[in-house]
Amino acid sequence: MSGAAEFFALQMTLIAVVLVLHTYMGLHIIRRTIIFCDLVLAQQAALGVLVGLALGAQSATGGSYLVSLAAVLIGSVLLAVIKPRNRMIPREAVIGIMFAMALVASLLLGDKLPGGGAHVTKTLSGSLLWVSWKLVGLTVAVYAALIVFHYRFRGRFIGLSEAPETLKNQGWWDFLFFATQGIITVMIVPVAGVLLAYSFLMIPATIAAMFSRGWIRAVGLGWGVGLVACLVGLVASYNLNLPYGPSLVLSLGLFFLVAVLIRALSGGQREGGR
Amino acid sequence: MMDLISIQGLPFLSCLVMLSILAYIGLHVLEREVIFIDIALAQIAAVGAIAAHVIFHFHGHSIYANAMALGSTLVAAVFFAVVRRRVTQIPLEAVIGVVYAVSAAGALFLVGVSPGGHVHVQEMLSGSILWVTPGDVAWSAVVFAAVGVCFYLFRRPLQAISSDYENAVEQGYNTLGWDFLFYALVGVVITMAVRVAGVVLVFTFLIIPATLSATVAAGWGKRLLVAWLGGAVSAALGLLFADRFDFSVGPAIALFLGATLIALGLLRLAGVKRAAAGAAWLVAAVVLGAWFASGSTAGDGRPAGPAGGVPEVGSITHTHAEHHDEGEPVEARDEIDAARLAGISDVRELEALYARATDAEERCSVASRALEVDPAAGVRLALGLLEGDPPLLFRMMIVEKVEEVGQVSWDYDIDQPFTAPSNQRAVAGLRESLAGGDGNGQRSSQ
Repeated sequence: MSGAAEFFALQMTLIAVVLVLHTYMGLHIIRRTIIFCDLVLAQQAALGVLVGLALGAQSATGGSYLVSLAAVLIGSVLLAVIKPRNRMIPREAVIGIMFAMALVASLLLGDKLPGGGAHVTKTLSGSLLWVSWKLVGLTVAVYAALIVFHYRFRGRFIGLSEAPETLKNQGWWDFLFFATQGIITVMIVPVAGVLLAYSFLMIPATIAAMFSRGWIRAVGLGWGVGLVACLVGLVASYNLNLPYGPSLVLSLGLFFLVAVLIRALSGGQREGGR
Repeated sequence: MMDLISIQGLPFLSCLVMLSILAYIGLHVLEREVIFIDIALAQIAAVGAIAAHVIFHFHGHSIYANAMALGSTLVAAVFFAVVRRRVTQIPLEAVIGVVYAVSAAGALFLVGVSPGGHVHVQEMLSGSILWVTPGDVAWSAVVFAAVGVCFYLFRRPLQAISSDYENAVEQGYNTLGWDFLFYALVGVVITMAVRVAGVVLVFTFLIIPATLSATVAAGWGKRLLVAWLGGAVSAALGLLFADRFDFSVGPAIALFLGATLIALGLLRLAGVKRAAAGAAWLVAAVVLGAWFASGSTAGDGRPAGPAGGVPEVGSITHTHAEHHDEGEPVEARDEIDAARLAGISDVRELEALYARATDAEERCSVASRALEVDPAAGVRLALGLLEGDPPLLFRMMIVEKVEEVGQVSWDYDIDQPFTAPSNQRAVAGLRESLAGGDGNGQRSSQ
């Protein structure tokens, strides 16, 4: 029984820490309508893991993290730099194409790696089950540092979302934004997989954005809802022996559906629909 | 060259059929800024098909599976149309993103509770356009033509809503209804296309030609022409490339679509005129295509093909090849089938057959038979097979066979390469138990 208790404690600690920053980043992403940039970075990180494997670094080791980090930083630079001047091409299209290319590279590489197909699947679904306290400690440290950094420069980042033209060195802050996202992606994708990482980022923030326009309140709301949804998914997965990552995503999705229904039924009214 | 056409012709035709409608829808999708709509719809269709397979045990390509896939996308079409109208505080793309993640998780979830899941996921992503049948192509051509007619008939409201939603609402269009029609039509096309080509290829066909056209042309008509031309040439290059270097076809085509876009984008960025950029790219594409085709593995009768193949086949079939030199490779292949194997109970003969086998499937069936005849020799062949890293299906089959014959549960992890430490341990363990427990093999060899 104590084994089960420790399992839950580990998982929930990790999720609780991860959700704070993810909800905040997610709000930025939704308000800037660059929804899929995270998928690009996550896929870059996964591609990095595969490249690491090709170079002989097993996944979830130091070498593998380094290659992933390099891949993600390259992705961040590209995301910050490529802004089509052509009005017929929305920025999201560039993001979509980058995502497709990263995925294609992963699949082609998977063709040539021993057991590559299984690796590709694994990068999608992750292995959150194998979380250890050491990993949780490392993740908490990195996340704490990033949260402090973002709190210190919150004015700049919020400016980036609300009034980008007034900001000096916009490209630089853009890069820092994507780089932060990239770092948390590298931390979380090997344990959670692309899909769960993406869901952590998007679903709580989307739910929060439907009901709140402020930043602090939205982060609080998203964090709370996300945590409850994850707990439900975790318990369901543990008791019914269901696939772990997908269960969490589905549980988050269920909460999202309920939120959409509440919002749709309460009509187009503005603040405070709850 | 005829071989090349007979192998690649149908996939290429299928690409053209898909491209014709997907490139047009892509223009709409860019206008609406719902870039990821098709990844979401494709994923939903895939969930429907997988659910049909896992829950109701319909065959993957049966009419029921297709109906389930289509049904799921129609439900999603209603959802998107309603959310666009009723939920104003978040962009539709955010909802699409969430729907994508949830349905992808749904697919993994279903696959996770059913065996052989990796194969589904891999195929869902990469598709299997190389195995497309004339029936598939004809069907999709008919359906896409019907969808194309719908798009033509209703082009005014659909284009008005795509270009400016708020304005369309003010003009009194029934946006809810037209949006549903739009997403339903897109859903039908995506469902059909993904069954053949996989999520990745369909997504790139949708987005990249449309984006490509924006770099070198303006206006719906011209953009559509550029999108078709660029897409068709990239598809041809991708097919030839995959054939030459033995890659999955879908991702290879997607790769060349991306490369085309990047090349044209860079040329335009460097200030090259539209026509010049297009011409330079076409020349490069023809040169590349000729190079890929010249080394094609399908190009029979070329010096490169047989010269590479003969020594290998010759050395393996050395003892049997004396009587008939030319026809030997073909006959050797035909000899290995299940019925013949079941009749062989001499291990030596099986080992010789194993050495002559030309692909993983044959090796797998020979090794399986050997396991039945003589576990010790069979295990040697099975380990040899695993070491050569056969496709997942055969890894699974052979490991199951070893467990069945040895009546043990063998902790070999088929998801890991043969060289993984855990698998090395599993192999060592199996060898040990054979050497210790099986005195027969030792005695007969002495």
